[in-house]
Amino acid sequence: MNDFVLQVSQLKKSFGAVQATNNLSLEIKRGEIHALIGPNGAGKTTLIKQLSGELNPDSGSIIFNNKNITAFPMQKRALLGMGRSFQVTSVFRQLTVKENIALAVQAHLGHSFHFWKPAAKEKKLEQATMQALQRCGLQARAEAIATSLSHGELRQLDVGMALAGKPGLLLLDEPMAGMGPGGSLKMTELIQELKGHTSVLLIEHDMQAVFSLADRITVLVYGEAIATGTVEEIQNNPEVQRAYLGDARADA
Amino acid sequence: MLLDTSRFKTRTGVLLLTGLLFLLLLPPVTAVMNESYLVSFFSRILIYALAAVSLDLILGYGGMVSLGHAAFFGIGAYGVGFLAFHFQESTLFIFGFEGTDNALISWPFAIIFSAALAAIIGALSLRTSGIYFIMITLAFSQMFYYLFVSLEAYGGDDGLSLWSRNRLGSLDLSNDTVFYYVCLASLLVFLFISWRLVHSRFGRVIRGTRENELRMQTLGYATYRYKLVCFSIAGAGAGLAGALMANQNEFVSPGLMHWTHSGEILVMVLLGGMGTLFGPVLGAMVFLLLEEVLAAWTEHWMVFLGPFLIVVVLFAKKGLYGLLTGERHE
Repeated sequence: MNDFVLQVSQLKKSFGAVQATNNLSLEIKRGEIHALIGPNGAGKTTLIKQLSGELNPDSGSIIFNNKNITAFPMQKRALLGMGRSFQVTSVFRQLTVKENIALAVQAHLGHSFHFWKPAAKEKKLEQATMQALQRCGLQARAEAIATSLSHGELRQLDVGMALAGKPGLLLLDEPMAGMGPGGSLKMTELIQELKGHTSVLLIEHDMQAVFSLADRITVLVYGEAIATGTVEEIQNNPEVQRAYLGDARADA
Repeated sequence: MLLDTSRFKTRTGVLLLTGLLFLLLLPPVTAVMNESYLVSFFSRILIYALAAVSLDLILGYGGMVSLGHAAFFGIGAYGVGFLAFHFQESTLFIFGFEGTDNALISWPFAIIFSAALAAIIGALSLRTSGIYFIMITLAFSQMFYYLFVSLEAYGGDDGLSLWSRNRLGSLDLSNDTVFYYVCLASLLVFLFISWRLVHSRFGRVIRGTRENELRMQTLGYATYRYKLVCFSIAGAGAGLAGALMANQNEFVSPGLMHWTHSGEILVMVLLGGMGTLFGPVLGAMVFLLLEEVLAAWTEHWMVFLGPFLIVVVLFAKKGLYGLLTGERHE
């Protein structure tokens, strides 16, 4: 195995005349938190959709753990260890918090063509579910129906589900969106704990969080990666300052 | 929502037990009251209840709004009908098989026949979703309706008459009370299977897919396969209901597959409460009782049923069953 968990090369995706992803190449080192920043409309979510398989790129390749997954469907990528959280909270709203997490855990415990045994009584599933609940800090809300959660808790649940499958690479699409300062801090801690063992691609507008969490940052403008580097390098990069931090700060 | 047995409220338990006792005691009580025609009427209710429960698996738990469920009901009925027809005529059915009036052969045949057809129709229909899924299931069921209308060898439009009900071991199915209990047993077995199913891993996957299919896929589920298996199981349940109906009426006709018939089963599920399993039993009972009472009074009984259904759907999210049990979720 080489040092990269993900290698994206020359990815292209356009919607009509709009080039949402333009010849994008990106490498994520094993265990690093790699932030993806850029003004609104830079194509960050479009990239995540292509990485997770929701969208197919027009050309280019995606190598995940030395495997070319460019043509793999979503579920196959997930089972290979790619977790994803959503920009707009995407959970099972009519199920309990525990059932939400359990579904995420269950996906990685073999097929689910088990028709007879009550899932709630499966020890292995139950144990792994409780661990995952604890990790995302929602064990006190385990029996609550997801609709009854606060916005911050829903964001925690969304990320918690992505984490429950113990992914090798976690794609986080604005995990702090719409959160208060307390929630952001909690989420920052949660992501901080992943450092070293889970690789993360983090999209976030909260620059404070990005600068404190990221090992490296890639700046995306008009679907193109204009720079990649450490926090310091990015902060001091004149091109980045011009294109993003300078005149587009209002967007952040 | 009923999540597991520990959440099973006393009120729900009392309600279900009352319902079970009512159904168990119905034949002796009606015999004493000299109203034994009710037994046959309630057999019909139980058969529709079985069909409605099977639809609830895909509609209530899987979120698949099918307007073609009657096709599987009709196929099940014809499964019994075909075998009985060749038995009566002493001719060979397909692949050199002879006909039979033995329920132990023809009912499983009807179930497998329906499940296989559901697998085929499902495999094609489930590539779509939402309104397209409704339309395509409707189209398929109409296709089968017209196919059977044109099957002159099996009576075409006029349907097929059975000389008698099937043989089932030493049970005398021609006795309405015996047949009633066979229908009740079939319903209870299917309810039990469905209950286990929706609480199993598989059931969770189905419910998750109803809630949010994209998220299920990003979690690693090949949702299409799970939906297809669920669709086939529901088809099997409807097939059993159809097999019973063929025996109840001693007659099968393409009308069983008509889309309006699918609509009726759908209404039973909505009335009783989607995603409750027991609700559709109640729904079938209320629907058929209303039909019976109102139709005796006016042929435009739908005029009354329509508004009633709208009121129930608007004000009781989990249908009549939800009203009775006081469940609030969903």
